[in-house]
Amino acid sequence: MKKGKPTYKELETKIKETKEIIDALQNGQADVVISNEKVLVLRLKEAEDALRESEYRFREFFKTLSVGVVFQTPPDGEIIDVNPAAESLLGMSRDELIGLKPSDSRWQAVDDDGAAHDIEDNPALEALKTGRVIRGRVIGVYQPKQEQRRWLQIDAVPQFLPGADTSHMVCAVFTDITDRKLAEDSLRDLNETLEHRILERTAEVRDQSDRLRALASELSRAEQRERKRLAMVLHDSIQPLIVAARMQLWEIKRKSESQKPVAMKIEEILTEALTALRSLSVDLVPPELQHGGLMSGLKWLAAQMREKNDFIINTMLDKKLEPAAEETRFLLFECVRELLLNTVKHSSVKEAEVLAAEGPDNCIRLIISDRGKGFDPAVLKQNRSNQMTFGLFSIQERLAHIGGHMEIETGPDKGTKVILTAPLSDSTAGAPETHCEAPDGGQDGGGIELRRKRDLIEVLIVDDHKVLREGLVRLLKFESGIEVAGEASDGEQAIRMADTLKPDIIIMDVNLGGIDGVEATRRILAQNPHIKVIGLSMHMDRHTADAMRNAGASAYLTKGDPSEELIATIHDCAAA
Amino acid sequence: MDNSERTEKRGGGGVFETSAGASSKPVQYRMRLFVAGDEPNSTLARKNLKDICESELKGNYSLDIIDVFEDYAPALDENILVTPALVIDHPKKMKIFGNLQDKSKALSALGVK
Repeated sequence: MKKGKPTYKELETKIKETKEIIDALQNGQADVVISNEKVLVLRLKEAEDALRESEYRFREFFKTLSVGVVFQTPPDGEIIDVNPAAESLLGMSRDELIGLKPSDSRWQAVDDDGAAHDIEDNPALEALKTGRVIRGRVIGVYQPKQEQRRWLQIDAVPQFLPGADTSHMVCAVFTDITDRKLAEDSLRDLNETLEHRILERTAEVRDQSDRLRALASELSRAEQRERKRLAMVLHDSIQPLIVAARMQLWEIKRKSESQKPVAMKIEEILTEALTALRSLSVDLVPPELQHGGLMSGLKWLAAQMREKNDFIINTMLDKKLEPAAEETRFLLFECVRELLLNTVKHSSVKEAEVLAAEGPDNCIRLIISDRGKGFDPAVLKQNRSNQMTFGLFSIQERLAHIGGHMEIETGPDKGTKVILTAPLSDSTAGAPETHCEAPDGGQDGGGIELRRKRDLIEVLIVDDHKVLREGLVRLLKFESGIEVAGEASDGEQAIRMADTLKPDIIIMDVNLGGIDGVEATRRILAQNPHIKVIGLSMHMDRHTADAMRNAGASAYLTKGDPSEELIATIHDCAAA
Repeated sequence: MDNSERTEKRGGGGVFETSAGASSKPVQYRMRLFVAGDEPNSTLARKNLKDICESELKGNYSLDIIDVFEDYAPALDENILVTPALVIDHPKKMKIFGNLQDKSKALSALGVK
């Protein structure tokens, strides 16, 4: 190449060549550009072809999509492109849609809840503003072709140019969910109607239940009134008439020797009738119950059953536990009488216990227990028709109406324990209405809490002090899940009873006469290693505690410890 | 191509033909075609130049084909910045850039038409 200043001709040639090069580059006829360093390959045509192909594919895809797609630009979300599905869904042509903004009144837009659409919540504008993808926004828009509102579910996806922080465009994709929305709305309306109806029905049922309860209470009171009236009629009218008749017979006997045998026979019959009437009168309204209260009534009942049925009832009653409402006193009395008659008929034993204690929530608890045949609790669930089960359900129903309930713990050959709970206060006399909470964990027996006795922890109480034994019995009798299997007053008796009763737990007083608690424990556990022994003594004495532990006792407590601790220890030992 | 044609190789590209042509001392064309391997425009330029040579130059030419992928120094010497590029050395020094799709332009540069 020549050095120095180029000639005009050379410059002209150079310009021509440069123009040729530019033309070649512009027309895509150049393959490479050569520089001092390297050869740069140009594939502009291929890139153009690829771009064209990509654009074609995109356009085809865009056209054939069944979901509506619109592209919108900032700042007002003006529409710059739409696909045919969007035209169809929105009921407007491409020309009508291009340039339209979300704020345009033609949309007549409403939000999901039917309120006028707030432009601040427009998904496309929000996506443009925040740069975040907005999904699942539901908007209703007026569709002019169908002249009705269509519901659209919209996703708005902001678009960014490489390296840009702010979105230059948003792609809004939407589907028509009108059918689904209308179905959901009608379902919601239906649900609201149903809920409303259920509320109405529930109120009706509650009302009926209240009326039923009031009726049951009234029935119970009417029964008592009738019992009293009948007793009064018997006492004030019939019995005097019989007495008067008998007096007339005395006259006949005195005046006529021939009529005397007949008169004596009639007198005998009248005397029998009088006795029966007196008994009936007392049965109808026991004076002890009416005048002395529930506890006196129960004591009288125990004496009556011993006398009439040769059935022993041991009572542990508390005069302080007197329900304020007469209705409750009479009802509890009748329930206990019915349960004891069941025991007489079905238990095959001659002895039962009736205990009274104060329950939680200002309630009285009456426990009626026997060690007889018991029964399978499943019977109560399966059969309500026989006399016994019907009677039990009837007791539960009547108790429920005064805010009480019944629990039954039983099992074949495991005896039966029935706990009746009722409010002590009188809601009819202005006291707040009390509902005695039923304990958890029982099987559902139509409102009756049922527990199978084999699940109970059987406890033998060993103490040479009768008062302490009775205190422990009273404590444990009312503890759900625990059954007092027996009581022993000395070491020898404890060893014998452990062999025969096979209890789960023995509460062993350490200081016993004869064989003491330590030795009794050793001997019992040698024969019955499955039994758990809880040592009990008046004072905490390390030496005694060690001796009991060495004998095999599982725990050791003092008689001064809280009763909750003893109960918790029993449960812990049984679970161990 | 007849037996009088000569072939040369420059820069690995390959000369495909030269010829001593007509009886009345026809013009002998001397050309160099700068290409970039088998890139699309280079392939097209080869084909288009071959067509022109066969139809218009009737064998009265020599042609060097130079592949810049193998050696780009000759291109730089000739101030060739893009390929394909045809350098006509004789009868008149000319450069044509592009794939020679415009046949009339190439013939004009060669002074044939």
